[in-house]
Amino acid sequence: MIYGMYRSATGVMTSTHRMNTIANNLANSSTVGFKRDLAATMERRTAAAERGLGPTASNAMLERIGGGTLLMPTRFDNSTGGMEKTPNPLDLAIDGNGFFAVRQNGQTRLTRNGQFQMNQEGKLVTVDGNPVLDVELKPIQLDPRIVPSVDTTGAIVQGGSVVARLAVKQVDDTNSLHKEGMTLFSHPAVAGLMQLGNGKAPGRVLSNSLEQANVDPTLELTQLMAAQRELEANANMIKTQDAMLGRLVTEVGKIS
Amino acid sequence: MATMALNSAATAMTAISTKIDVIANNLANAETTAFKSSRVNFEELYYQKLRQPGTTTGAGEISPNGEFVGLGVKVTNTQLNLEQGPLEQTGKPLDVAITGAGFFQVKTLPTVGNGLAYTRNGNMQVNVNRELVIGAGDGYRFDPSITVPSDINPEDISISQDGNIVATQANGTVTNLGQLKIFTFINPQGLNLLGGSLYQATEASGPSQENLPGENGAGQIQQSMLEASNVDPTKELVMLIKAQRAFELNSQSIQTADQTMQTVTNLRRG
Repeated sequence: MIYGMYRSATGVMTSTHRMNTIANNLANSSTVGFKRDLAATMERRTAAAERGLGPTASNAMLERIGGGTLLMPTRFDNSTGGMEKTPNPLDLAIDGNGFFAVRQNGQTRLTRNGQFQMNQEGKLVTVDGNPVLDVELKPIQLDPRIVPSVDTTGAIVQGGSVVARLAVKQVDDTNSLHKEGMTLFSHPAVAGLMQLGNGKAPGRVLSNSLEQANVDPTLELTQLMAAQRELEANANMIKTQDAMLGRLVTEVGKIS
Repeated sequence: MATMALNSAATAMTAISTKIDVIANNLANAETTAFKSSRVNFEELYYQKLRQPGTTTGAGEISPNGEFVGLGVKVTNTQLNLEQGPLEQTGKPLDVAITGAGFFQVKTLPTVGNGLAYTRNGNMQVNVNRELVIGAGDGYRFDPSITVPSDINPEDISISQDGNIVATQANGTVTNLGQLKIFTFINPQGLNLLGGSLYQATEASGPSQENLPGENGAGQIQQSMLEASNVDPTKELVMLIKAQRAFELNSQSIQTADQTMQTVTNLRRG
């Protein structure tokens, strides 16, 4: 009996987690380069099976019931967001499966957020001031006196000649990316990634464009409603089981 | 509990209301001479790691992914849109516009910055000391200052594309009054906004660089023209609608989180 109550509680907990994730997706529906998180759940095996104990007579029946629900590892949806035109030539977006490389606190990070600026020293930086990296993963130094432009291959042109080439790293397995916040991702082996366009996958850099968040409000709100109802259903199961326990304790075995 | 959802939605509503404020200011200045619109940039906050990737599960396997929940959104910065505004013909000889990058330098109060500010508003007037001043703010003088001798009618002034100010009087006398300079910045988006069409140099913008008009990519001067605001009202209104809807969506997250907490609170029978 109490076993069932704990499983209903795991349902409440996973539904809460899904709501938290959806709320974050909705909060970032205007964040450039944001990728929505997927909050998936999976069936939990019974505690006995998880510990690797063999079937015994006492748990054979319980095992058929299952052990409730667990969170799946968080994944994100890597589909491309809508492109928005901007007047700024250093607003860049990637058409294809690539990521810009930036340096944050000595770490190389990947991002789809191409809101770049040239700072007072002529370095190309993100809106947070982190340096943007070239194909060799070095910071990009530009001539501060000339307005730069970026072509579709990611080459930065100043005064008619190519002065640097942006790193646009092709990531085939997006499950190896981890979100670090600030629309930055970490990857275990950034240096080993191929430049986009060198492999089979086509891709190009779009100037005067920004990639919007790939959050679909209809989908998120529907999932939010579903998560809320699931939570209520599980909460009602807890109440029902509590009521039954209450009757068991107070009425069964009553001496009249 | 659902407090994370509550907080995420609250950060979003705060950030979006900043965006609405900025859009409202852009729209309010749709008719302001030489106004440059701003946009608000957003970024995610940090992720709470519920489980690190690479931990060992009960069955002895190493999990390839962890569990993360994002904690909302924040405003990174506001960014100036320095796109050229359209030029409007005014017919007044003391109206000038800059076509291209750059600013005029004017003297402000010594308490404001180092006493210098920058503007693209070329609505010039002659003050009581016969000096050229800009029509914005408190009538700040140009730096280097330009004096119009008292015998010259401001209507007789002509200004060439390279900024040379020449007065041709009715009797045929030609007087050279000086040349307008244009000041550029390495990172003009790092300028500090003083209001009144004035900008101030900062560490981020770098020091101003003096140019003759047309030199080093600095803009040229167009006489009898004023640069209109570069606000595109259609685009701003679309952004306003999007911001309002995003605000409403996040209020739904708050409602759901609130109802959820209520459901859980009512679990215990009385």
